[in-house]
Amino acid sequence: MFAFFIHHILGHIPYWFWPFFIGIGIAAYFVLGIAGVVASLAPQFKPYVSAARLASVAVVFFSVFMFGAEGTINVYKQDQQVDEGVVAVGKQQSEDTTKQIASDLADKQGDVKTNTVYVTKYIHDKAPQIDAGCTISDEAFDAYNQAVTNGANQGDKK
Amino acid sequence: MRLLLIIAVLALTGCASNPTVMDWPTVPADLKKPAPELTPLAKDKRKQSDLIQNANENYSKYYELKNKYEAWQKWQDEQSKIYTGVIKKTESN
Repeated sequence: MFAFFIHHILGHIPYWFWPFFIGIGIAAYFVLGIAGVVASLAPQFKPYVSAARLASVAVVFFSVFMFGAEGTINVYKQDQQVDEGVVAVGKQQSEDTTKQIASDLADKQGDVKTNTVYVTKYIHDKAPQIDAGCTISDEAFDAYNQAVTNGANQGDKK
Repeated sequence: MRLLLIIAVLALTGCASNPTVMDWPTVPADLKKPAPELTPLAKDKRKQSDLIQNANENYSKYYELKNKYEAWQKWQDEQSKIYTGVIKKTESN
């Protein structure tokens, strides 16, 4: 929650905000010092003046801390912007590479299909000559199918 | 003293940073398709031309798979280079 406050709210506060409060705190400390002297004439106000003086010290310390934190956050944000730029470039390169590889693959698969169609047509055209010899024996048929299926689906492995 | 410790811990949570990271890219859909089975010769196909045609179809499946395998390797190599480069650059900042 505090980290959220630091990262999301602090960066949007104007630059003069914390120095202004440091000044207010210091001024209040001295004014209350004078008020303390005056209050010694009326002792019933003295505890309130002391408490207010303590609060002014706390305001100064808190404002100094937040002023420092704001500087740190600015440096952090600049680093983060650089990182985001690097990641954005990386993502773009990655997407371009993926598209290029998918496109190359589609081209190559198209070539394979084209060649297959070409050979299929050749086989079809030359079928009379190819089939002039003989038909395939049962043994040749079984051996071929065992090779195709790598024997995995064959019940009668030889 | 305890209050001071709590305040110090609370203040330190402000130093927590959310590192900017790049996600590993999604694999192209074509590369994730399973490998096809080779087609055995049908019982009624006993001519040599049938055998050669069947071999032609099966060989084409092999070449398609070979292309896919090479594309996988290339994709992995290229993406690794990009990813490692981005990690190195963001870590050096």
